[in-house]
Amino acid sequence: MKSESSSPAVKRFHELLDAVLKDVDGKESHEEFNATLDNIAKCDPEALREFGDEDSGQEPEKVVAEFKAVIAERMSLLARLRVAQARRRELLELREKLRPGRKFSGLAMLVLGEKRFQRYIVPELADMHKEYYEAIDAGECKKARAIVWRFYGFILWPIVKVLFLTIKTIFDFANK
Amino acid sequence: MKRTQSWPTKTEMTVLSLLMNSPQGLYGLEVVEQSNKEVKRGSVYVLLGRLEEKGYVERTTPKVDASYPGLPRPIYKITAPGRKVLALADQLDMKEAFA
Repeated sequence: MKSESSSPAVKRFHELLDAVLKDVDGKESHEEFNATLDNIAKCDPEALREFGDEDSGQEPEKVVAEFKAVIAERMSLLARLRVAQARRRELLELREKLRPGRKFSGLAMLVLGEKRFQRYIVPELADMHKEYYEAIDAGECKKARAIVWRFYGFILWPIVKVLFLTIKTIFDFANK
Repeated sequence: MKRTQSWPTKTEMTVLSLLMNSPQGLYGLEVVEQSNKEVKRGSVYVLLGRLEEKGYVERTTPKVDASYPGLPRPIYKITAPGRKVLALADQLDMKEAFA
């Protein structure tokens, strides 16, 4: 974020900094840039006037201080951005690990085989995930849990029914 | 037993008609919603899977946003043989006959 009250020099410096920070690591470039600024101020103060506001005729030291403040501001923003990105990555990894039906998928694939799993289970899982994450994003934890149970009901109920009928048939046959 | 190109059942015809009216394809749950309870949620993917096996329906999986942690939902579209069989059924007025 650039300061609203920045002088033309600072604006130009922002552009320059954008180019420098584009592909390099922030911290190193920050230190490198500050060192370069110090060297220029020490050895060639006139060079800094190039960035200065011609009308105001700023002193090189003042220009350097202003530039350093800009660098510090940008570095702090970059650091916050990196932290936010890392947190987001962690959250996504955690969500991936906690995805409902993950263990069940492995078992179903083993029992049904790849083709049947892809054809019958994956679409059910995908529907469940859609509803589950909608509920999670809305903060409705109970609803999300109910959605997972309903999914298991959909998948397991036919199996239970078949097992029950088989046992009943065997029992009836044995009693005759 | 491989089911290929056999005549669809009445419910399968309903699903094919719904897919015919949606050129962009439908999700499984949309088929359930639009079928007026003729197709149940518990059996929709069995039906669609059977139609896919017969070659009347094709399944495509769209790309989803990388931040979405769930599996992408497949979209079902009617194929050329599916259109053909539906047209034939309309022509012969056979939709109701195959219950």
